[in-house]
Amino acid sequence: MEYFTQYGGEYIRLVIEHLQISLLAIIVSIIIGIVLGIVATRFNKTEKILLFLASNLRIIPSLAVLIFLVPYLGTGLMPTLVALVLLGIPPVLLNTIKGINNVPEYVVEAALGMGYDKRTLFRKIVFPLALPVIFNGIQITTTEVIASTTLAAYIGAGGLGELIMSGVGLMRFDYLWIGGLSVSAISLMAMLMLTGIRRFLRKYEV
Amino acid sequence: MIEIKDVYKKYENSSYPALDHINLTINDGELITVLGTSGCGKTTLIKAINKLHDIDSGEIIIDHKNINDVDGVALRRTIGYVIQQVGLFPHMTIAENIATIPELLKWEKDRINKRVDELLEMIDLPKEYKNRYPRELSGGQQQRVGLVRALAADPHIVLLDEPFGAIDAITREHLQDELIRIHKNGNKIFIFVTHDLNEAFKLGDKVIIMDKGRVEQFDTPDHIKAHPATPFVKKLLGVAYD
Ligand SMILES: Nc1ncnc2c1ncn2[C@@H]1O[C@H](COP(=O)(O)OP(=O)(O)OP(=O)(O)O)[C@@H](O)[C@H]1O
Ligand SMILES: [Mg+2]
Repeated sequence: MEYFTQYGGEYIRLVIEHLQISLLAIIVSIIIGIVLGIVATRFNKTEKILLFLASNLRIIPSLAVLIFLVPYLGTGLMPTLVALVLLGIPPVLLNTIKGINNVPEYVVEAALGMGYDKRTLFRKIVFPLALPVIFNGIQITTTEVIASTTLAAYIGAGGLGELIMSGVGLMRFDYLWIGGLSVSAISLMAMLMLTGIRRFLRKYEV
Repeated sequence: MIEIKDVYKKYENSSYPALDHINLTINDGELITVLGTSGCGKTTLIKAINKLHDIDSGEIIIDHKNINDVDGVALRRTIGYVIQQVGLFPHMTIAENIATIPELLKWEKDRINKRVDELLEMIDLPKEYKNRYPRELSGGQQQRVGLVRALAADPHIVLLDEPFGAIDAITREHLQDELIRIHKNGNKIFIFVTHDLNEAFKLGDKVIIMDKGRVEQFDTPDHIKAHPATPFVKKLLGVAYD
């Protein structure tokens, strides 16, 4: 493990880069996914189209998306973020639609019957009750994006993928191990954090 | 006073009207029950009164105002409504549930708190239930809460759609007595939907008997028993008393 004594600073830079890229992609995915999901449930047609797209988008490997994007966006951070966001949107989007549609009809009925206007109904009843399901989507997005951020290195955006790539290049298996385990560790910690937050949402479960 | 004049409604995908030229006048202070078999239009009638559903033709006039000229959201905040499946909000405490309409009407905090306490007392729920969630209550307690939630802003009219549905006979009788007691305390109109003849006759000052969207008879329980107006009513009574 002389890697750490020799390249400790370098390692920390890679971890921070990885975290930054992932976090940015996750946040953007969540925002776009939720907004699209809400829009989708308002209009029947949009919902069908987006459900179709989101379900199929997940089949395309992000590496393919990445390579496809390079001619248009060049190399570096931008195409990486676009690819990761495309990967990150579907789980949030699908779960937003599912969560909103899962809110029991009779709860909505009771709210309307007591004089909720459409906006208050959404803000106070529908969205809160959809939150646990939306949060499940956020958890999926988080793990997928953190794992896929490894690909960023292929087009020079940095992150722990760099370590894995040089491991492959130099036939250094210890680099591969360190890179792979670090990504897993970040994933695991993110999961634990989210599971912690999830507990506060329990009361919104229907 | 509620005046229902020649009200007609047919759902688009339905072959017969849910409300077939209904005429009714309901006076202040009356507890009216609506009795009929499943699908005869009871819920539709209730939802027409609070404008959750539009009607095709006819007029509904509440306290001399045609509800067509009133904003639906505003109207519903002045009419209490207990839906068929209780419909408490699962993510809100009992206190928050009861405070729903006062909150919408932007009452002051103190006034809301006082009102919540008052209502809990009315249904004999101890104060520690305030911060519980609906799932932590029994079915009967939930229905009680649903009832006082509808009463929170002291509405002049309360619509109750089979509020005591899935409840054992004893608790149900309890709730019925409670309802009568609550109704006595004000000059309010209660419209209570049920498909249980005994409940309808026990609670109602007058009973509306419906079949296939039509009002078969609208009269006091005694009059209906003595003079059933149509073969349907006769049959209904026959089934119950044979
Ligand atoms: N939203 C709707 N769209 C189409 N048809 C409807 C709708 N709601 C009710 N109906 C139909 O209208 C008729 C009256 O329904 P309604 O719900 O008023 O009956 P109900 O007397 O309340 O029955 P129940 O005792 O089962 O609650 C039924 O034939 C029903 O199928
Ligand atoms: Mg009904």
